[in-house]
Amino acid sequence: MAGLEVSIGSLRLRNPVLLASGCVGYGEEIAQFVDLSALGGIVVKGLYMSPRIGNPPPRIWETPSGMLNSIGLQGIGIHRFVRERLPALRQGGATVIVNVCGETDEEYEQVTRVCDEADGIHATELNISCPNIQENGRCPGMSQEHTYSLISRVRKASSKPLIVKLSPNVTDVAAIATSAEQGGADAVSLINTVLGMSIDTETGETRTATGMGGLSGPAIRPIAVRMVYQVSHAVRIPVIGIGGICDARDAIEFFMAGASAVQVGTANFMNPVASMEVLAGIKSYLARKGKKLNEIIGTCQIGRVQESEPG
Amino acid sequence: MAHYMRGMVTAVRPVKEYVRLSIKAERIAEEMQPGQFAMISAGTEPLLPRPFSIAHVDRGVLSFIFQDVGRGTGMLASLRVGDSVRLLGPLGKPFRVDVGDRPVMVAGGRGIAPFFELARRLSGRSPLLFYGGRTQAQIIETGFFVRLCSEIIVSTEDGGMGHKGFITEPFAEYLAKSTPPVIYACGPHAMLRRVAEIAGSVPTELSMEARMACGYGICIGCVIPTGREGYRRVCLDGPVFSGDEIRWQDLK
Ligand SMILES: Cc1cc2nc3c(=O)[nH]c(=O)nc-3n(C[C@H](O)[C@H](O)[C@H](O)COP(=O)(O)OP(=O)(O)OC[C@H]3O[C@@H](n4cnc5c(N)ncnc54)[C@H](O)[C@@H]3O)c2cc1C
Ligand SMILES: Cc1cc2nc3c(=O)[nH]c(=O)nc-3n(C[C@H](O)[C@H](O)[C@H](O)COP(=O)(O)O)c2cc1C
Ligand code: FES
Repeated sequence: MAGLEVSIGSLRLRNPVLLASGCVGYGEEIAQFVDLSALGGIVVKGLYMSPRIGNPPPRIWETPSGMLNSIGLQGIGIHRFVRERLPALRQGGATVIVNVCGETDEEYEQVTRVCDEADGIHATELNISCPNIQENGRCPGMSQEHTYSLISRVRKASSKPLIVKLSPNVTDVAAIATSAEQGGADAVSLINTVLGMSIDTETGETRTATGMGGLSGPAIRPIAVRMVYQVSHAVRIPVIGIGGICDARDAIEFFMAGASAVQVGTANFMNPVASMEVLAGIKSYLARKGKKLNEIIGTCQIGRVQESEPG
Repeated sequence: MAHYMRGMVTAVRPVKEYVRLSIKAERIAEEMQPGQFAMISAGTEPLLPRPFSIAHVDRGVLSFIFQDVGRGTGMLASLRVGDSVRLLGPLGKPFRVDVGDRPVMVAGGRGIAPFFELARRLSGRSPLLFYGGRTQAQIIETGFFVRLCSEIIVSTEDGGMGHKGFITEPFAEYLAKSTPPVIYACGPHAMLRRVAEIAGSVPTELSMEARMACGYGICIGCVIPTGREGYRRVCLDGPVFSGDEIRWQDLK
C-alpha cells in the first residue's frame, strides 16, 4: 500500500498501525480475528528474563471511559517466548516488536541481547515506564539521567531498531524523550498508562489488589495527544502515539499531533478487529483528502497562533 | 473459534429476580457448547463488554439469564426487541459431557444459567439438579428441567421454597450415599468452594467468575490462583475448572 510505510530506524513498517503491548498477549488469540501480517506490527506483552507470576486479583476495574489495570507484568520470560510463541508469529508474517522489561539495567540489557539474536524479532520497545512493578510506581523513565544511562547501555547491546516507551507519569515528558534520543533511541512511543486509583466506598478497599493501577482507554487520549504533540516538537526521531485509540479519527488526531505511527491497546478488549478498522479508516481518510500519510503528520494548528517551537 | 458479530435482540423479559435476554446470532449458536459464555456490549458506555453464560440455544437464538447488578447489566436490561448488540463468542472451555450416569449439577442463584444447555446434553444420563437461592424469587421455574433430570432438589435460605438452608446441605446428604461420575457447579465462589470440599475425590467441573476486560485471553486481567500453573485466565483456561486446581485460600 503506497504512501503508508513508516521507517523506524532500519525497519520499514508496512503501515502505521501496530498493536500495543499488554493488550494482545503474544498474538495468538487475536490472530483469530486479525491478519497480523496486514498490520504495521505487534508489540508483545512485556518480557523479563524469567517468567513472572504477576499480581494477585482483582487486577482490573472499569472507570469512566477507561480502565485501571494492575497485571504486574505476568509473563513467560524472553526465552520461552522465543522458543514457544515466536515461531507462530513468524509463520503468520507479523512484524514482531518485543516490549523489554527489567528490574535492573542489567536485565534490560540481557533481554535486549536475546532479542537481538533471535530471528523474527524485528525491533525492541524498552518499557522504561511500567508503573506497576516498582514501589510507588517509580521506574527509570521518571528521570532524565536514568533514561539516558539506561538507553546508552542497551543501545550497545543491539543492532536492531530500539524504541523507547515513555511514561506519562512525569513532569516534563519532552525532556525524558530528549534523553532517550540522546541515549540512542530510534523512536519513542507514548503514552504508557497513567497511574490511577479507585476505591470501593462500601468496603474502603482499593479496586485493584495492589492499590494503584494503570489507567488506559479513551479517558487518557487527550493527555496522550498533548504529550505526543510536545514530544514530537522536542525530538527528531519518529514518535509512535498510543492512548485510547478506538477508530481512525482517533489515530489521525495523533498523526496531526506529530506521530508517525500509532498503537491500538485497550480498544482490542472491546473490539478484536479495532486495529483493522483503524487501518481501513486511515486509508479511506487519506483517499478522501487526496493525501499521503506523511502529508498529515504534525499538521495540527493551534488556533490561528503559531506556537514558538522549542529546540 | 469465537465470532465477533452483531446480533439482534428478539426478546427481553423479566423472570423473577432476573432478566432473560434473547439475541439472534446464528454462528455463535451453532458452535456453542454448554458452559461457554459470550461477551455482550450494547454501546460505548460502559466501555467494556460483559461476560454471560449462554443459557439456551434455539434456532440461531441465544438466551441469557442475568441479574441486574450494575451499569452493564442495567444497560442490557433496558434493551428492546430489534436493538442491535455486539457479541463475542462462544468463549471459554466448556463442561465435559462424556460422563457416566447420574451426574450432579449444583446451581446457586444466577448460576443456573449454563445448566439449561448442559441438562439437554446430559438428558440420556439422568442428571440430578440441586438448585438453591436466597429466596423463592431467585428460583426460576424448573419446568424445563423436569423432563431432562431424574431428580430436582430446591432450597432457599429463608425456606420460602424447598429445603430451608443452603443447597450444599441436601447436596452433602446425597453425596454421603452416592458417588456420581462428576459434579458440575455454578454459583457464588463460597458455594463452589463448599461443593469442592464435599466432593472429596469425585471430579468437579466448576464454572468460575471473574471481572473481565477482553474475554478472549489477551489482557490477563481475569485470573484466579491455581495450584499447578499459578494465575490462570478464567476466560480462556476456564471458566470451567476442576475444584482441586483452585487455591481457594488465595481466592478473594
Ligand atoms: C464466565 C462468566 C459468566 C457469567 N454468567 C453470568 C450469567 O449467566 N448471569 C449473570 O447474571 N451473571 C453472569 N456473570 C456475571 C456478570 O458478568 C456480572 O454480573 C456483570 O459483568 C456485572 O456487570 P455490571 O456492569 O452490571 O456490574 P458493575 O457495575 O461492573 O459491578 C456490579 C457488581 O458486580 C460485580 N462484577 C462485575 N463484573 C463481574 C464479573 N465479570 N463477574 C462477577 N461479578 C462481577 C462487581 O464487582 C460489583 O460488585 C458471569 C460472569 C462470568 C465471568
Ligand atoms: C492490561 C494492560 C496491560 C499492559 N501491559 C503493558 C506492558 O506489558 N508493557 C507496556 O509497555 N505497556 C503495557 N500496557 C500499556 C499499553 O501498551 C498502552 O500504552 C496503554 O494502555 C495506553 O493505550 P490504550 O489506551 O490504547 O490502551 C498495558 C495496558 C493494559 C491496559
Ligand atoms: S478477560 Fe482478558 S484475559 Fe480474560
